Amino acid sequence: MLALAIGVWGLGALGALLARGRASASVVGALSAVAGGAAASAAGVQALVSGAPVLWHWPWAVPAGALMLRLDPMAGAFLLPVGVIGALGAVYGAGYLRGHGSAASTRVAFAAYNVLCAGMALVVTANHMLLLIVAWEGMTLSSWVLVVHDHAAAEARAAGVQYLVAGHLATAAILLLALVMAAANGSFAIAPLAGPAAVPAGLLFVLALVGFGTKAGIVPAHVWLPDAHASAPSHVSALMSGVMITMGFYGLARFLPLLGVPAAWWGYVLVALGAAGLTGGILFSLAQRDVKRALAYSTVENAGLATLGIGLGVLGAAWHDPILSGLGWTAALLHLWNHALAKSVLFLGFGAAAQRAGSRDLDALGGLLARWRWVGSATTVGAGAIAALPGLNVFVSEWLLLRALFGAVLRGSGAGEVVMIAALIAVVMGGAIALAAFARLVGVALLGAPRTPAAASAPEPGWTMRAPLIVLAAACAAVAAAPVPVTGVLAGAVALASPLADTRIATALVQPLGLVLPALVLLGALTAGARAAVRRAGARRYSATWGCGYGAPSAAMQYGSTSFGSGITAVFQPVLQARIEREAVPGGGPAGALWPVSARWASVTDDPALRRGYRPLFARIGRVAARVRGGERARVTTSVLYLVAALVLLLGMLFVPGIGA
Amino acid sequence: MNHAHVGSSLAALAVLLVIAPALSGVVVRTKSAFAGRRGAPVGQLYWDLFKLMRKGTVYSTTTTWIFRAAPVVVLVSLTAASLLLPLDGQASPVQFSGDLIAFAGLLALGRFALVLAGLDTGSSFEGMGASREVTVASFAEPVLFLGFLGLVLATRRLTLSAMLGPALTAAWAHQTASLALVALAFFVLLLAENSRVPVDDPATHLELTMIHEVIVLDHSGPDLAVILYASSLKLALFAALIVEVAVPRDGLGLGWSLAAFAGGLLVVAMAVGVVESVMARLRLNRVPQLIVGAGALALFGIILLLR
Repeated sequence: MLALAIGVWGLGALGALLARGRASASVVGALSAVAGGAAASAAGVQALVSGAPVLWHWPWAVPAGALMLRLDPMAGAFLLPVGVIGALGAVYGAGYLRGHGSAASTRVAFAAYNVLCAGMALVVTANHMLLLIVAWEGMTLSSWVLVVHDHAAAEARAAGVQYLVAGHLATAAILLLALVMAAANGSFAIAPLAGPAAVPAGLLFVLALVGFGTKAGIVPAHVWLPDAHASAPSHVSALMSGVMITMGFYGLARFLPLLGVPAAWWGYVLVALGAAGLTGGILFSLAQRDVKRALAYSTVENAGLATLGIGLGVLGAAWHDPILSGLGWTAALLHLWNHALAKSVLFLGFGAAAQRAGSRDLDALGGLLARWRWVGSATTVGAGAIAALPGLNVFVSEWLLLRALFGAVLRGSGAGEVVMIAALIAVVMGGAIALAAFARLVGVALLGAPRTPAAASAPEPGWTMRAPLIVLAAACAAVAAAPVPVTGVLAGAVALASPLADTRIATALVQPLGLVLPALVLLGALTAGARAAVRRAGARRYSATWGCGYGAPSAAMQYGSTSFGSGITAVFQPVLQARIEREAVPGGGPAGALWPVSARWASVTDDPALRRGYRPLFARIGRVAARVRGGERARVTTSVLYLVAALVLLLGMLFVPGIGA
Repeated sequence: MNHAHVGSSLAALAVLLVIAPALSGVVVRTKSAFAGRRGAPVGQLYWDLFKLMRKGTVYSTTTTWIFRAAPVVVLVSLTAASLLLPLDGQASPVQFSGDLIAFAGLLALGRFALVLAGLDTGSSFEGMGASREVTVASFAEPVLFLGFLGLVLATRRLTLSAMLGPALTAAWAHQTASLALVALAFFVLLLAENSRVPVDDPATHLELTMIHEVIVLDHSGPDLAVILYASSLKLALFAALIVEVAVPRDGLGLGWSLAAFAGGLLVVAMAVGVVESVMARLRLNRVPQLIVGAGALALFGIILLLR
C-alpha cells in the first residue's frame, strides 16, 4: 500500500508536468494525489491498527545508503494526515488553481504537490538516515516551489528565500545529528544509540530540536513560517500548516527515544519553548491584518501546544512518571491530528474568500457567510474547532493537555510543580486569546456587511472546493464525538515515543468527552424546538441593523480587524511592538497645509524575533563574509586559494590524534 | 453516585434555574435601597421575559443563521455548564475527572456564539461590545483556572463534585486563607464576566460605554428573552460557584442544604448590589488590571498551598 502510494504520487508528478493543457494537468495531478492519498491513508490506518512494524530493504547505489523503509504505528500516525489532507487538498486545488496563474504554473504546482506528498510519506517511513535526509530535502524543495508559485509578487519571492535559508540551516543540523549517530552506531540505519556518542546526548537533543523544530515551527525558529505558509496557494498552505509541520514533530518523536532516557532539562526546554510559542503565536495572530498570516501564526500557537505536550511526555519519562509521559505524548500527537483537520478547513475556507475577493486583507472581506452557505459554515465550524470549543475536536486534545498539567501539579513537587503551574497559565491564556483571535477572523471576514464591492459580489466556489471543506469540518465533529477510538489507536505510537508511558490512561480519561457533543446537540434541539414553537406564534419582520439613531451607517463603520483585537493587543504592546506607518498620499496636497490631505495609516506588526534577532544577525554575517571575500574585487584565484587552504586544513586533521585514526 | 444524589442535585439545579431571574432583581433592589428609592419588584425580570416571549421578532437583513442560533447556543452552554456544578453541595448530575476544564470550555462556547452574533449584525456598536467582551474574557478565563487550581491543590481532587463537595469541608479547616482568597477572586470574576460595576454598568443608557448590553442590541422578542434569561443564569452560575466555595454544605439535609444554597445566592446578589452602589465603573483600559489583580489574589492562594 505504501509503495503504491509513493509510486502513484511519483507518476502523478511526472504526468502533471507532461500534461498538455491546464485542465488535463489538473485532472492528472489531482487524481494521482487523491489515489496516492487514499493508499497512504489505508497504509497508515493499517499500521496504526495492526501495531506490528513492516520492514522493506532494497539496495541503493548511494555510498553507505540503503533503501530501508519501516511502517510502524509511529509512521502510521504521521502518514495518515499526509494521505487525508493531501487528497482533500488536491481536490480543492483543482478548483482553486483554475483561476490562478498560468497553465504552466498549474502544471508545476501539481507536480510539486505530488512530490511533496511523496516526500512526506518517505520522511515518516524512512528507516535510514540518508534516505530520510534525501526525502527531507525533496519535501523542502518541492514545497519551496509551491511557496514561490505566485513569484510575480515580491513578497512571495522574499518568503521563498527566507524559507530556503531556514530549511537548509535545519537540514544541516539534521545532517550533523545523523553523522554523529552513525559514527556511534556504525551504520546509518535509524536505531537507538548503541554506544557512547562523540558528543553528549544533550547536544544531540539540541541538534534534533534545531533541525526538526525549525520545520515544526517551534519558537524561536518559527520566523520563516508565517511568510512561507501565507504565500503558497491555499491548499498548499493547508498541507504545509496542517501536515508539513508535523514532519518536524515526527523527527522529535522518532529521534528523542533513540537518545536514551531523557534528562529532565530536555523536558523543561520543550515546555518553555512550547509555552512561549503558544502565547506568542496567538498574540501575533490576533495582530495580523492578512488573514493567511493570521492563520499561519495560529499554527505557531498550535505547534507550541504540541511542543508543550511533548515536553510533558519527556518530563514524564525523566521523572519515571508513566501517566504524565503517556498523557503528554498522547495529547501532543492527538493535537497534531486535530490541528491538521481544523487548520486545513480554515486555510481552504479563508483562502477561497481571499482569492474570490481578490485580497488577503481581512478588512477587504466581510459578509460572505450570508451568500457562501457551505464554505462559510464549514469555515465557522473550523474556527470553533481551533478555538477549542467543546463539542469539536481540538477541545479533546487541549483538554487532555490541561488534564495532564493538572495531574502533574498534583503529583509534582518543588520546581516541577511551579513549572507545571506556569505552563497551565500559559495554555489557558493562549486558549482564551485564541477565542478572540478566531472570533475576529470569522466576524470580520465572513460576517457583517461586505467591506468592499469585490467581497459583495464574490461568488461561492463550486463543489470541487466546497466538498473537501465539508468533509474536513465533519471530521472535526466526528473526532469529538468518538474520542475513544481515535485516542486509543495512537497508543502504539505513544509506546514507541516513550517506552515507559502508560498508553491506556488517555483513552480512559477522554471517554466522557464523547458525550459532550451529543449532549449539546440534544439540549440544543430541545431549546431550538421550544424556540420554534414560540416563533410560530409571533410575527417576524426584517429590517436594517439598528444604527443607534444614526441614519446612514456604512460597512466601513464596522469593527475591523485591528480594532476588534485592540483591547488585547494594547495590553501586550510590549511583546507585539506594533508600529504605525503613516504617510501622506502623493498628490494629496502639501503636507502641513491648513486642510487635511489624503493620507495612509497602517498598523504593522512584524515579528520582533525577525526584526531584532535574525535580520541583524544575518546582515552581520553578510558583512563579515563580504570582507572575507574581498569586497567587490572577488576573483577566481582568491576562491581557488580558499579551496586549497580548506583542503590543506582537512589533510592536516588526518594527523591529529583522535580524529584521523 | 446513587440515585438519591441525582435527585437532590437536579433539585438544586431546578432551584438555580428558577431563582436566576430573581437574582438580577435583588441586585436592582439593593441599589434602589442605597439610592433611597423603592425600586422595581424583585420579580420584574420574570414579567419582562413573559412580555418578550409574546412579542414578534425583528431580524436585521445583514444577519445569518449565526444570529438566530446564538441565543440557543448561549442558553444551552450555560445549562450544560450548570450540570457540572455540585449545586446540592454533594455531587453534580454529570461528573468526570477533569470536568472543571469542560466547565470553562462551555462558558467559552456561549461567549463565542454571543460575540459572533454581535459581529453578524455589522453594527459598529455591537462590534465594539464584542471586542470588549473578548478582551475581558481573555483576562478572566485564566483567573477562573487559577481559582480552580487553588481548589484542586486544597482538595487534591480533579472533579468539580469533589473539589466543591465533601472534600472542601475538610480543606477549609486547614487552608482557610487560600480558600478565602479564591472566593474573593471568584467574586471579582463574577463582576467581570457578568459585566457588572466596576467593569461595566448594566444600567447605563449610552451604547458607547456598554459591554454586554451593547452586543445584544439587535436581538428582539423571544430571542432577547432567551438572552436576558441566559445572562441572569450566568450571574446565578457564578454566584453559585462562590457559594459553593464559601459555604461547604457537607452533612446538611437536602432541605437545609437547598435553603442555604438559595440564601447564599441572595447574599452574593446583594453584595453585587452593594458594590454597584458604592463604586463607579473603571476606565475600560483599567479593567485588565483589575482582573489581573484578581488573578494575583488566586495566585497568592496557590502559593500558600504549595508544599
